[in-house]
Amino acid sequence: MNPPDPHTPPPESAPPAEDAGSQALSEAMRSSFVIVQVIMVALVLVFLGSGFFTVGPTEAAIKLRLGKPVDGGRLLGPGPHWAWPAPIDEVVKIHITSLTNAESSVGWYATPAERAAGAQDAPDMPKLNPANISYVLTADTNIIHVWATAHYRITDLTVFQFNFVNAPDFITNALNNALIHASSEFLVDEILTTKQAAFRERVEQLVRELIEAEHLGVTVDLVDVSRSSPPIHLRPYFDEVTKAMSKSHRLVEDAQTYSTNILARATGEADTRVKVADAVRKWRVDRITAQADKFKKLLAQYEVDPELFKRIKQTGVLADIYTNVQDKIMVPPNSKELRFQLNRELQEPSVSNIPMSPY
Amino acid sequence: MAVAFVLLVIFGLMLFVYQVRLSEVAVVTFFGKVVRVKTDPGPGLRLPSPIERVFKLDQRIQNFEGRGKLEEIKLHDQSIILLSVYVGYRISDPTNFFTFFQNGSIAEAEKTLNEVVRSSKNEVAGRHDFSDFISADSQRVKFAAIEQEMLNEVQRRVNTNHYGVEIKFVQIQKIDLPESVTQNVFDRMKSEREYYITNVLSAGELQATQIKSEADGKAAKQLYDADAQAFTIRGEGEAQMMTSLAIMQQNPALATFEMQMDAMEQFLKKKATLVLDLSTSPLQWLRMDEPAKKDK
Repeated sequence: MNPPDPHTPPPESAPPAEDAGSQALSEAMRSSFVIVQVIMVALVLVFLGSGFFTVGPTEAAIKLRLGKPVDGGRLLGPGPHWAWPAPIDEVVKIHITSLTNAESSVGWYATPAERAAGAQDAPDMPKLNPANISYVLTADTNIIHVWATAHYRITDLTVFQFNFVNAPDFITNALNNALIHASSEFLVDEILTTKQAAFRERVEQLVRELIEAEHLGVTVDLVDVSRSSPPIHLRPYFDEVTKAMSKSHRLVEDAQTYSTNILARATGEADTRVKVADAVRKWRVDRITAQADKFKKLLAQYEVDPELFKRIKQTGVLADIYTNVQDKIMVPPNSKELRFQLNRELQEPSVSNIPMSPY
Repeated sequence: MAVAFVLLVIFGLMLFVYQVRLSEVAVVTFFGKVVRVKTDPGPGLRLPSPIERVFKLDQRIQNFEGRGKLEEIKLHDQSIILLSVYVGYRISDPTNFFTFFQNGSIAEAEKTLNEVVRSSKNEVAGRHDFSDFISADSQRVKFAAIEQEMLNEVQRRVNTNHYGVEIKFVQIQKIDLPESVTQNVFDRMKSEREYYITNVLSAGELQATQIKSEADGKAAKQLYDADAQAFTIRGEGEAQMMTSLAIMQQNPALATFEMQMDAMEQFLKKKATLVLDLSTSPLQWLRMDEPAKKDK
């Protein structure tokens, strides 16, 4: 067989129709496959991308892989995170704030929702239907209305979320139970006035005990007895007691003021009396001493002529008196009638008015 | 090929694998009959539905309030109260729970439990007096004990009926009085307030009187003490004066005269009015008649 002549044009041999179709089909399939591959990659990327999630600033999240907590239930804080998409991983987000409140739903004549909406006082009713109006009974079987709020923090999110179907509801009901229980131990006036702090502490203690007993994963920071009130129908009577107590306190305070004043006055008066007595004593002693000295000096002169001595002395004294006396009235001889106005003003009390005679 | 394999794997997983989440328990039935229970979280194998079906039950503590109309309970001392309780329970035996309550329906379970709780509550409360619930004597109040009794009674009945439930707590939620009784309570409270007002005022007046009396007594004693002290001081002064008196005893007439003169001078020192007639010495010298007579 001779080799073909290179200059000889090849025999006209057009490719068979099947080959062209197969080639086109192959080309089309190759293109489709590429598209499918791209779509698959895109789907995989979308699948993996769907695993991104964000935990908000007031949230925490726990990741479950095939139902089990990942990393022992480690909490995921605020920010972006990634997990395998469902059904491999499941992200459980829990709304959490630094402090959460629970309000009692028994004991008050309005529900927490009605209170939040600014419900007014219930109408004055001479009796209460427990189906409509809630209240508590005190130890002395009085009816009052009380409303408390518990402030708590979630300290173990896993327990809080996976131990109880509705942990917040449990806290509300624990608060209700504590309120009813504590009320049954205190007298009406103790809750309303005299032992408010002790009552609040008892409610708080009971709430803590109930929550700790059920391992709820929360810490109670504070229980506040927001309001306590007698039934509206009896408010005027309780107000009268308050007024009576106020009046009673005022009476006692007035008496204490009186006591303080009278004791202060008595102390002053007693001090004055002692001081005056001492001053008089000193004055009298000094005076008698001076008189004794004078007596010693005059004795010799007196013994020479007592009558003359007396006369001279008397005259001298009378001269001083007549000179210094305020008013002098001379009665004319043979006067038939004398009239005086005796309305002289009273003398001011002073030490000089105290009798100074040595005897 | 690989894609098909992946799809096949996914399809196989969906048919033969199920997942139990933390806090859940899975009950697997084989043509409606419970064959196994998976309590720990994680994946499990099963035959495709409808051969085997998987039911998941929530194993967390469920809580519910006693529902229905508030009913009156007659206590041991014939008092009548209305009592509401709050109950917590957990599925302790998933097979029994699933079997007893249609496919483990929580609603069905709570409906049944509510009846059990209601009758147990009434029975336990009926054994107690009113003072076991409410009393001014705190030693008599058996609040926690009554709750424990209720819990035990509910648990006993639940166990007897094999509900597959563990009662975690029974808490008294409300203690109320019948509406007609509240009116009597209001009347008593009014009387107590009026009595209290009288007492408060009387006590205040009594205390005020006592404070004043005590103050008056203390003040009087202070003055008496001061007077006694003054008396002593005066006595001491008189003792000191005796020394001087001894000197004057040399001539009592002179001493008396001197003292009388002093006294008269002191007495008429200020704001005195003297009424004198002209015969008083030495004023007689003011008269112009009978000088010799005047001198007398």
